[in-house]
Amino acid sequence: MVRLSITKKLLKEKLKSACKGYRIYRKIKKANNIKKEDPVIVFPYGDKECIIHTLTYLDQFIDKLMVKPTGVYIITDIDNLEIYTNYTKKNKIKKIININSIELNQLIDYYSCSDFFGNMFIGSIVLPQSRIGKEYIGFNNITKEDLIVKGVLGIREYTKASSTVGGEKFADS
Amino acid sequence: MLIHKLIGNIVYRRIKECDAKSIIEKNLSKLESSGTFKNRFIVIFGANWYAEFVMNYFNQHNIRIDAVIDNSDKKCGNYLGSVKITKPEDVMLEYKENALVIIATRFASEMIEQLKGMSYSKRKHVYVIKGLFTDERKRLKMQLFDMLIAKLKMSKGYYVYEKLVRKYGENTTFLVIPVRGTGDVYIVCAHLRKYLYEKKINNYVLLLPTISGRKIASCFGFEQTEVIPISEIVFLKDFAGFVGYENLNVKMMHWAQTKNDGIVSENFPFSDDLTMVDVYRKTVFDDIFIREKMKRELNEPVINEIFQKNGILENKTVIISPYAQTFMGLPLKTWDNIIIRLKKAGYQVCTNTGTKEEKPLPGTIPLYIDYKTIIQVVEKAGYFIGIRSGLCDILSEADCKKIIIYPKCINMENTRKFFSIVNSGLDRRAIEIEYNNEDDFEERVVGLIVN
Repeated sequence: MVRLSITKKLLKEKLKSACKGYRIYRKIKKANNIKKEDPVIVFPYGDKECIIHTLTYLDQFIDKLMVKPTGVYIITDIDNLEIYTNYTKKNKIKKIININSIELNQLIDYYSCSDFFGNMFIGSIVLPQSRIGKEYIGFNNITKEDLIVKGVLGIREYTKASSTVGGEKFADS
Repeated sequence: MLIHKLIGNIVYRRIKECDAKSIIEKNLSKLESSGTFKNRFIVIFGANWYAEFVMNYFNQHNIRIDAVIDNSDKKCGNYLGSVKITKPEDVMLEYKENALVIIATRFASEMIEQLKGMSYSKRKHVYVIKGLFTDERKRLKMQLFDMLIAKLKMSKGYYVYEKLVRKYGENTTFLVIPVRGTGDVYIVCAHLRKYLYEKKINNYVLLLPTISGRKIASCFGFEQTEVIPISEIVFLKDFAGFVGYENLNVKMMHWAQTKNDGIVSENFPFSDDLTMVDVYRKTVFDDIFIREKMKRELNEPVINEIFQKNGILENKTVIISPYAQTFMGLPLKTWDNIIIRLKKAGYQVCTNTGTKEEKPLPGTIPLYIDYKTIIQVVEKAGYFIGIRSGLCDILSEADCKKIIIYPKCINMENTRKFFSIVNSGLDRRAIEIEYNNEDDFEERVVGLIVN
């Protein structure tokens, strides 16, 4: 049983957080001159596999976009994301923008309540919190890779990569 | 409060307008009533999901589509309904004064430029479906009010929730079916009882957007239901997804939990060997998935009356269901040929009409049958032919010969897999066939009934 008063308070807090997320996003867009056709991928801390698969399929992701971007921007709260992105082809990633975890959660709150997110992708299968894709893993031989490539990046028909970014380096670290 | 209500209504309207099918129908019926289609070479530009609604409209109104064009090499060579998809240059390069190009895609401006390059004029030869997409400039402007709109929507969602909690109490669980589809309601209700038992949910209300949905729920014995407008359900869904279902007494009984969940709602299910039933099983029912059948009222006199009143023969009647929400209908000519052949073979033919807009096929007996008796009526008639629709989910319980038609559509392979009654295990005996525009299609369908 959840009391109405608590729900109302929760909604207020979430909206406040989303407003902050909205300001952060606008600030980032302005400061980096992000064009409307440039995809912005948000990587929250904690899902290494998701990062690796996303970066592995970055080329195919760009290929499927109708309007070709000048590059991809990444927003993250992970300090050393470069250890992964260094293995991607040059010039694909325009910039990695670091923000703290609180700001990143605010950004995800904004994403969750807003209507106009054509070019923002959350690189996670558990965030925002209503994402329930992980339930599919293991069912009908569905892998996490399938889920990320098809579900998060929206590449319905993809060519399986022979190796992931960084190859063996990140395989079981 | 008043301002809130006013702005809330604007948002309401926008959500209502999001029904692509009705937007397209509204656009095209305006053109039809003004006689625009007469003596025109009609072309659909862009073979996408929306083009199927356009094609469906023309099929239902018996208006010929002369060509379907698309720039994608992958799509060319496939069919949209009964028309082969070709490259724009193949059809349009030879100038046609009476051409009317209908566009229902986000890339209308690029397409118009392409047509201009082939000497067509926007004003004279092109019609872009209005109200389907917000144009880029408007979208950017709207982005400025992004948070204001979001706040209003979330508050509206909260008020819907508050109203429900005040009416039913804080201990009530609200099970929301946020879609109008008959098939969705059927699948949820057919698997709900065991789930409620296992999850120990005793005090609940099933929220549905349509009266027909409530009738289906009632056929399963679920009487704790309330019909609320789809717009309120959308607000509630967005609000619940934002605040988190774990923080509310709300359970969304649909696989697309919120609009921004990405993985489930748009991209994933259609691209793997998943059926609609699998998706419900994994995402809604946590694998607690035991099917229950609809309660059959032993209402022999009522069923006999339907047969006598309409002069229908037992075991020698084919009930046709030509209408569906997701799939396109067949051209009227195809139905005509099927009906003529069935009659020649000695069968009576009826059309199942769910609403006033769904007109009976020419030469058939119109039937409006309640969900409570439809299974028994079809069983007694003996035969069913229908476009894949929610009715097919209900009739998966019926013991008779059933032919389910899947008209060709974009991404056919995966869409058919996803909706398949046979693959999902709902009905292993149904015969599923694809409408492929081959000459022998009608003969094949009738052959399946006769043999």
